Amino acid sequence: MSRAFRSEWFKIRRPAVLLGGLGSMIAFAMLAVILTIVRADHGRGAVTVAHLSQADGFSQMMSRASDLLGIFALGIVAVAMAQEYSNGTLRALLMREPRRLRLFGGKLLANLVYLAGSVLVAMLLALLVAVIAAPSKGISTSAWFGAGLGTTISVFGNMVIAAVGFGIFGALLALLTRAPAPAVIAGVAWILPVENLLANAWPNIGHWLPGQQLTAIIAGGNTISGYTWALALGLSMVAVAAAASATLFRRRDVAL
Amino acid sequence: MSMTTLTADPPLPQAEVGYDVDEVAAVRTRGLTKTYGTRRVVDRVDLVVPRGAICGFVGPNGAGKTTTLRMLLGLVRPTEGTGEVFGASIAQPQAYLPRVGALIEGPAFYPTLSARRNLQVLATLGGFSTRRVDEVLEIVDLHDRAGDLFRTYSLGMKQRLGVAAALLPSPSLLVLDEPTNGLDPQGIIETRALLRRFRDDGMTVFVSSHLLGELEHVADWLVLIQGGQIRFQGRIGDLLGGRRPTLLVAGESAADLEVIAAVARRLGHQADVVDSHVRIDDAVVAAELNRAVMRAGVTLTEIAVQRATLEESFLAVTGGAQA
Repeated sequence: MSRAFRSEWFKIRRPAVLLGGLGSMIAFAMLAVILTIVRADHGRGAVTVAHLSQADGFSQMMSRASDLLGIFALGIVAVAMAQEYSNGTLRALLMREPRRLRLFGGKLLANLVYLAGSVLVAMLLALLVAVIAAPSKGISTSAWFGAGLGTTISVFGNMVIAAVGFGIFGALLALLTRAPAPAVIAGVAWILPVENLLANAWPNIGHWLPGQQLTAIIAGGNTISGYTWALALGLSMVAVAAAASATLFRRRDVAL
Repeated sequence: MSMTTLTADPPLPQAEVGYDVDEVAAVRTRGLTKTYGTRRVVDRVDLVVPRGAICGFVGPNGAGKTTTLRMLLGLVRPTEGTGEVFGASIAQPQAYLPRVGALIEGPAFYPTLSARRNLQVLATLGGFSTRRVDEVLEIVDLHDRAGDLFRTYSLGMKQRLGVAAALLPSPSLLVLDEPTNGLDPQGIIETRALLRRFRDDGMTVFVSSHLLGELEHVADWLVLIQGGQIRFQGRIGDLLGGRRPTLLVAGESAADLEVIAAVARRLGHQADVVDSHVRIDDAVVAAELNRAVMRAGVTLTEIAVQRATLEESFLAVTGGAQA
């Protein structure tokens, strides 16, 4: 599996992938931070200065980017996996590593490591921007690093967990569609309109939707799902998606 | 015993033809079948590829060539039947693929990686050294352009890079699916020379094409497939030898042609007037015919032995399908 991992890195190291992906992730994270700070007011709105000044203030900022993060993470892995089918390169890869689970595991792991690294770098830069920009709106960040340091650090962990989860769903969609565009379109459609429509129509159903659980993990728990529930159910669903992806990859004919 | 097979259930080629295929077949399948829905793409194929030969795998588009190759390479699971490559079951491709190089359905690489990087992806995955990447680039004469992006390559260069990728493991068996597709005449000649070189280096080369003429000058062994079934497998000479040469003669006038045909028929041969010639079904009759038509007062102006071309032999075997 290590050979498949190292082999995949040749592709990830392409400037367009490495910088494009990381750059986009940084841009999304900073946009979320800046927009949240700009929109913060002193009244009773959804985003208040008082709220953002609490220990979980940074977590609240990042939860605004959860949909974008989900789409991005899903898209990165979906494109990386589906392109092997659409380019026809999977044939050559399987010639050199016919043990399919090793190939799948190495490829997926490499992309998830890249994804996790990108999330961490983007988060660090977003935190830096937040600390610099927050005082302009009267938001105090001292609680983020005092009693709330653990909460702030946990945001990083939650974001990585959610990104990995979205990425594995992206892998499943890639293997189902075997083409990048349909995989990404299906993923975006599910995360944005479908889940939100379902959750609005039947509030209780949000408690069982995978995207909602991963979003709740980023926020450290929300009105739809508590953190523990979201973590347990979300990771269970991710594990099922990973197993389904591996089974598809191992058993399906490569006729493209 | 004849080594030539013209039926769907052929006897295996034998040792006297020069390839002891029972002992040293590089590839052997028994009843290999692939079905998609109700369509049998490959139908009970008993295939033998002798070691150390260039084996041409010929059939019209859609005959089942690529699907057969995919099954041999572990990309597609057979619906029925078994197969072995170097004695290992095709159900366990990891046992033999380290000794196999393949180019299936055209060269597929990452467009935004250079040729060298593309090969490094495969070399790393297969556990081959970076030095091997440079060696294969040298073999296919792409060393000078190895740093260029794959998407900037011409079709001929892409094909050569595909061959380079197939050579990475220093294979004992090289499987090439339509390697001359899209190549100019010079590229086709170079590919043929490359195939001969690989064979001379001890490789078994299994190369498919829908153009029989393309393999006529290079293959030692031929497998013809049509409608998913093997129609012939054996040496090229045996495919040609399966059809007797005919005699083509001409006289001084159109009336002479009828006389010549009548004389030939009297000698017990089938004769037909075709355009300005008479075609007689057996070339050995030439001298006897010449004497007989002279006695009948006709002088032959042309007499030629016409051997069947590979295409004609193929058409005879397949019942008319073009290759």
